[in-house]
Amino acid sequence: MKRHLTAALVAALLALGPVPAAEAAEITWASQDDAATLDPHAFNHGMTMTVLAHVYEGLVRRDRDQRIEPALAESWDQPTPTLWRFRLRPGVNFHDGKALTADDVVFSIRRALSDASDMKIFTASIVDVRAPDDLTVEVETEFPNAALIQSLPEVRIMSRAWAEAHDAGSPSNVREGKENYASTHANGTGPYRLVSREPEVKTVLEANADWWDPDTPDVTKATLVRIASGPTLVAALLTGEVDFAYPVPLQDIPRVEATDGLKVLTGPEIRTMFLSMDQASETMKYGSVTDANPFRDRRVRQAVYQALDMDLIATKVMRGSATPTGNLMAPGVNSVAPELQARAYPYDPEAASALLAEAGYAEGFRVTLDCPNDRYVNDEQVCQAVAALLARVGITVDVNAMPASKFFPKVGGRDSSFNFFGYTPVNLDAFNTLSVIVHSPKDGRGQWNVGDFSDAEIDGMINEVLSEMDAEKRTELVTGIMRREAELVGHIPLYQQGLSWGMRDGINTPLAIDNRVNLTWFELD
Amino acid sequence: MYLNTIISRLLQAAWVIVAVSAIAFALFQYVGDPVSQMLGQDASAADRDALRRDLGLDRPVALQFLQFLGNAARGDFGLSLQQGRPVMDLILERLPATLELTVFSTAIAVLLGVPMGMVAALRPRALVSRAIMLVSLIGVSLPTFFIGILLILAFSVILGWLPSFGRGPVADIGGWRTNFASWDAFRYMLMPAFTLALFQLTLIVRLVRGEMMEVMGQDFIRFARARGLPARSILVRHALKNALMPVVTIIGLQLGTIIAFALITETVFQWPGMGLLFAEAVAFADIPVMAAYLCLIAVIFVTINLAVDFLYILIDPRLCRGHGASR
Repeated sequence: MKRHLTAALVAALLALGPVPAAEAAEITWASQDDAATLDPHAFNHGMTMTVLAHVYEGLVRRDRDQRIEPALAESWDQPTPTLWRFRLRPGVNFHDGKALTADDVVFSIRRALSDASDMKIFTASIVDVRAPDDLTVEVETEFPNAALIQSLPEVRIMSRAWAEAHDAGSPSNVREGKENYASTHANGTGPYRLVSREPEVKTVLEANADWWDPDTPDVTKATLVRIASGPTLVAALLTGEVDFAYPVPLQDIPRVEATDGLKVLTGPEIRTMFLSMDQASETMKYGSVTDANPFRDRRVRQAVYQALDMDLIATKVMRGSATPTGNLMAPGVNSVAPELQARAYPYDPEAASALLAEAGYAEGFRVTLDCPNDRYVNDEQVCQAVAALLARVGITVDVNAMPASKFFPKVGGRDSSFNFFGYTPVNLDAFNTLSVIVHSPKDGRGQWNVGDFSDAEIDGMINEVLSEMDAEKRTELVTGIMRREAELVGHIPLYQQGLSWGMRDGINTPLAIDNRVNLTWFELD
Repeated sequence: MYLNTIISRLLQAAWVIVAVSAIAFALFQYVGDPVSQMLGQDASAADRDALRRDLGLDRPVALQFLQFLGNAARGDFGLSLQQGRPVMDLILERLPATLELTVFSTAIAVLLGVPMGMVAALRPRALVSRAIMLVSLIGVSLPTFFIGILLILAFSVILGWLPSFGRGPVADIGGWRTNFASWDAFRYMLMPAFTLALFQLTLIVRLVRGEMMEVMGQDFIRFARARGLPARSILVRHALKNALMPVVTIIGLQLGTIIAFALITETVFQWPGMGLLFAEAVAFADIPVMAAYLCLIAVIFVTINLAVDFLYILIDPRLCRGHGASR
């Protein structure tokens, strides 16, 4: 009887024409990486932040064009240059049903400021945070910080009651040799609730029916699976086992695009890849020149720049997926003017040879290029291409490729003469890159300025960027800094890596330049 | 007499495990720095140093090793640096996946390999035998990851018969998550198990073929024939039984190898077993996971070898005396 009824029902529904299938709103998405933890303050890592953004929210968030818009804070103002006052959105609940209050925000910001937090880069200037009433939060900064609001999307708000009830008041877990409840469980205010999680295998999210935003997401249930092997990831997309997969390996993009019912979104990522040259050592650490350091000579650095054909690297090694650039910061980064993208010196091997001869290295020299081989798209091949291009002007480059777990301690420890890596300003603000990559290595800055490029004038200008509240003036300042940096050839910017998101035709989503998938932006046909 | 032998073998086994973990610890210094992977690129040098100190990674290797031994003796393998969860939990979580995969693939290898080897031995010039030997040649020479990718291409992408990755909808039976409970989950195991089985299969085919050919030429088979025993009975009860002795030994010893080298198959099929866990741990420089995994593999190898040794002693008591006399 029951079966007949069902059959009749199905027939009736079919007669009505195409019915949106219930499971159409459920998607499986695959990534080569997985979130490392669910603790919102433990690890500033791309995939971790991507997953967390669905469960936890900040006071503000980014729209599809990376502009800041209200989230848990409905509005904010600045009574003084160092004081920010946020009005919280009333009626927001955590997934466990408890209402969000200013006290939760104070707790979360303090947690993000604590020793074991990896989010200190976002909260660095904050000296005090307090809750005058249940829906108001005041944040006081040490100095006027123009980039504060740019950093706040990443400072995620958790429930004090929940964290304290589960002994997760601090993000330190491994250090104390104990498990952290918050690293495997989650309770945020975000558009999705965590249903289940098997680290490195799968994470199931379900739309939060109680979300404050009236723009409810199309995707009602999403299962994130990790597929580390590139060919297997592509196979899973081709067979339809997953609806969305990223990153699609470069060589497979045409194959996926040629498949009926599948498409690949491509575009430049906000990460910029560049070369750093050791300009501090008196003699070369890893090279043939033992009595001097050629990279201390601006002419040699410019020669390296002019010997490199970024277009060739982008089209051949990166198969057209990369975007050559002349700037350490990509368009889309706050306060970066688009005109900086043109290369500072043209590709000209003859001019490069002439510069080398002028600097006294007519015969060239030999140097080791340190390079990661499991971190970026075709990283080792790019280094090989750099070596081949520099060989043409007489510089013999030995490529020393290694896993990221060895590469970053080596170059971070200044144990390198010449190296290749990439950087994304974590809060998509120019000051972050300037502070970390361009500023002299001192006062806690210049941490990844591994060539120890140093210019007092630039350092002073970077300080001004920090506190310049006028957007136009700030952009001018940044432009000035980058022009001078290019004049001194502090670094050699190469290209922006390409993004490649593969998905079935029924999914429509903007491509996020920071490679962070946002399920709330998915529109399903 | 037996007791002495057993005790001395057990002591040897313990030394092997300690030696393996010591070598492993010495090698960990070269796999990279976990701290660089545990904090974002923007963490300050002071933060990194503090974390390194908190984790005890700043102490001399010898000291770290001794502490590891002390904790391991109490069954405490610490926390995974990558996942922040107890290493033992992670391994126990992943163990069923690897065990099911290896046991099933060994079953495939034996059930296919023995008959194939017999056919190849009995009719060496037949077309089917030549085909079997060709397949076994392919099995020996093609790398595992390549076979895996080829299978995915054929059976998932082109034919669409089998799923390409993962374990699928496993059933949870008393905490043991199994692929054997439903066809739906079982399908997920076919390609990884076959990939893993192929090398073992070719080994068995070649071994059975060689042994069978040798046995079939021996006098007792000739006498059995002369007595007019049915061919089937000669083949199974007399020839195969004798030919299988060395095969069983090899299969036993191979089991350890298969568990240890399921790593590549697990990576290709994203099979959430211990091998995949280890591969991830190496990329992350997750020292506690690597150390525990290598110790576990050492324990498995040593246990299998011990069991084989004891079986030999039971079968052939001369070995025991021989051992004593050589002292």
